[in-house]
Amino acid sequence: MKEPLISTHQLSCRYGSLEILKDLHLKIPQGSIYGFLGPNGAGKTTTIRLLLGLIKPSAGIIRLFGQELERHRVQVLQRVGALIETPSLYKHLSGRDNLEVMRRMLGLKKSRVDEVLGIVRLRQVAHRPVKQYSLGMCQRLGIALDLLSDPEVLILDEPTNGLDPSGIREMRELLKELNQEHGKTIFLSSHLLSEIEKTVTHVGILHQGQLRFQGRVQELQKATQRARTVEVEVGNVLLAKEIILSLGHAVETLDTHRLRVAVQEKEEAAALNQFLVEGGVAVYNLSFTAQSLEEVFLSITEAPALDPSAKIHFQPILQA
Amino acid sequence: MTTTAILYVRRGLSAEALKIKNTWALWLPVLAPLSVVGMTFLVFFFKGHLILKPGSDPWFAWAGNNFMASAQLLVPLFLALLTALVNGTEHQSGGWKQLYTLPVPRWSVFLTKYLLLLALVSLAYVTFWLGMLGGGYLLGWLRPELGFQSYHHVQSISLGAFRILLGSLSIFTLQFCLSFRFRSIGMSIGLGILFTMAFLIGSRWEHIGYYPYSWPTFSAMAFQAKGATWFVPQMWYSLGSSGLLFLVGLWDSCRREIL
Repeated sequence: MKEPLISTHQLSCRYGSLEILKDLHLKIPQGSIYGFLGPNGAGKTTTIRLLLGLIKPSAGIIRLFGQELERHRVQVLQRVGALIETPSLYKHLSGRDNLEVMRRMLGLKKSRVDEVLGIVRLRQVAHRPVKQYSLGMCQRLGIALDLLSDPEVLILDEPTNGLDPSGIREMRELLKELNQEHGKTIFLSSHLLSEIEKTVTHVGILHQGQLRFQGRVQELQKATQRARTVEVEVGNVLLAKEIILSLGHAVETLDTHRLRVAVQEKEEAAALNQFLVEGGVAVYNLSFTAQSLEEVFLSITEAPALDPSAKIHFQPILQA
Repeated sequence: MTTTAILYVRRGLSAEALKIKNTWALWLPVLAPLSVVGMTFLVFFFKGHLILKPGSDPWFAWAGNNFMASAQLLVPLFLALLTALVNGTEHQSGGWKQLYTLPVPRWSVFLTKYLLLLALVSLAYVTFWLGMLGGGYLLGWLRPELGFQSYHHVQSISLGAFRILLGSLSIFTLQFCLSFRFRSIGMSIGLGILFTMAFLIGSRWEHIGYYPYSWPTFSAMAFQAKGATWFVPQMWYSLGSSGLLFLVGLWDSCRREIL
């Protein structure tokens, strides 16, 4: 099997007594757009800072391009472009001068500045001071800075943060273009699955410093298909809940008349209806639903930690 | 190895120089010394006949006034302000995280910033030196009765400016390290003011010669002292402690965690 472009082994990080990351095993394949998801405070930015050598891990190994980061920092970073939270821009300089600062620092060709301005579609406004740029333009300039050295990997921390819907769409298109047309492997973090689910090929879900899911988006979708639920509208919610629990199903009360019940097969829905009616509960409506990706994401990030060694950590949102 | 290191420093300096375009950091090293010399010039132009004894050498009073005002108060404040402005640009833009994720050795980030600021400080001293010589000769032309045109002290004035430059290196490195390490511009400038005030208040203390913020003044006093050697002890203290502070700052910057 091909070695991942970025991998971590038992990566842990703590600030004093506070454990931020626990035994993280990341695997970012070459050519992928890897969405690193998790709620605020899950440890995403800390992971990114570790991957870039800005902070040192308490334990574990980080490998990029098959080389250990700690030993080959400069060589590794030559092949990486990074954007951490907001881009680091000098507001008193023009967009072009910001790129020129970086170009001089890295000793690159002068023509590269125009090339990256073209990629991020900022050539028209490159002469204007950055203080006049919108947030979306700043983010794109930040990506242009990352692209300057033509890196193989882009590591982006919440690149859509604070952008309006059109800005998010533009960013999404830009990332896809960079991946498909320029062959960049992209690792991006976000706290919203909906913002990146249309862009990414792989997903890692971090919760309370632990990786709860890692795999292709299709694998996450399979997990959603397995997680079928039935929404039942009944006359007596309390009695219905009692009956359903006695049958061994997980159940969640949605409102005064509706319950959500976890089922494995379609046949179970029919049996459920029969037991409820026989138990004296009036059933007004029964509909079969599947969890959305967002619900799966929420269920993963709201449920307590499971065995971190399992490949897919998935738990339905319903509680037994 | 050395060639690669020089390449990193050369590239870093070129980038750092561009960063200060359109900022006060670029103008301050020119405007600050010229304003000191300019104010002294106005005093001598309008009231020179009251300050100078008839027939005496006016250059000692002219240069002495410039040197003492600068060394006691203005040099430490200027260094605090300049270092805070340049390093503050990086703090404000969140630039450290960008700089430390670049494929350059960590030491080069500290070193190139230090060298750029040292170049700006040197520019300020060159401006000060040229301003003093130019201002003196201009007074000689505009107010010949003051007698500036009759004497020439290029060598001693150059040496005086050089002495203060060396005497203030320790303050420069300390202020640089403070503004490099801490985000708050107010803190590094505030500490600069506090340390300078402490010198002014304690200037009569018998051990004040060991206090870094007094070293520019001791270096300046050598200009008026008869038989003074090229180097006064405080210049050596300043050089030594500056080197030590530089090494500590460099070491700290290499192990610094960017949160």
